[in-house]
Amino acid sequence: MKGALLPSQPAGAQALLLFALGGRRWAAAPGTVRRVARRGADGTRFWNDTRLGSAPGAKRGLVAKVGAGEEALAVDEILGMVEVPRVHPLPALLRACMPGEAFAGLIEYESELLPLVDLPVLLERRMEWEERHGAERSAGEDGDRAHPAEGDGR
Amino acid sequence: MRPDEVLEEGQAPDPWGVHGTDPWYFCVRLLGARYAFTASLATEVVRLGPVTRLPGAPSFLPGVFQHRGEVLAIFDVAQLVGERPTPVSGGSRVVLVQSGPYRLALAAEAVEGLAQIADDKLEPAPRGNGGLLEFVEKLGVDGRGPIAVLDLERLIEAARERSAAA
Repeated sequence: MKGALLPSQPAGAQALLLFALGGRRWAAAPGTVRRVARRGADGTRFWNDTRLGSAPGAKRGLVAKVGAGEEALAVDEILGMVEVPRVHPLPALLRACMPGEAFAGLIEYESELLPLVDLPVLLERRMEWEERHGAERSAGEDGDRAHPAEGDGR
Repeated sequence: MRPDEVLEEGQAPDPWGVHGTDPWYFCVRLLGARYAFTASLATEVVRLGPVTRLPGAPSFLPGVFQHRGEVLAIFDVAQLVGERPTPVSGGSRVVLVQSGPYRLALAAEAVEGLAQIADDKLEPAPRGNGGLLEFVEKLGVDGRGPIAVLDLERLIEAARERSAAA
């Protein structure tokens, strides 16, 4: 794991949670992650397919408050906390063309731009998609049905 | 402009050193043809660094990259008008464009550069039905061959409007 818990940050720096999903690395603001859940441990619903990719066999998920409840994003790996000097805003045209999307910005980490995911918004959009398409979910409490609109460019 | 040039009041600095009375255009190759747009919109030609794709982004915004500490979106007009994608990868040359609040990197098959084209060499384009022709303002011929002048600002606005309507 590249990141580690950091005891202090210089002014302006931000500590973010890094995770791996669908073969890529992503960041999330720790304030948006309530806890890390183990699949099946407490009945929290896991979402295995989102715009970020699929993790059907993942055992752990990042839990966020969505509406009145809690939902978990299944992730391949939690990489830990990292500190970045700044969060880049999404370019203006992307913001204009992707209103309400689940990306709060981009960070530079190890010479790579990583999307900063707004976890509650991501899960909320995923639930909305599920409601719109009204399909049955597969096994038990897992929201892992395939959904072509998610993860593809428009 | 040259370092020793003095700007007149109200005159904007011209990073391309454009002079003369005929308008200047910036020329690129798209979909196998030559296209131009108002030169003042182009600020720089750069090579792409590593490209990061954002899931859910419209196909005409195939990725972002970092340039001098700024994150810029790549704009592929070919995909906006439903044509095949312009190949972009790390190392491709793109044109940085500033259009109103939007600063972006225009993807092109090739970057030709500046061309000064006399007004009498250009004619108003017939109104196109879809595709890139919808955004062509003028047609003409310069020393390098046929060229179509695009309304790039209208293309960018169309991108925004089409996404909002999706």
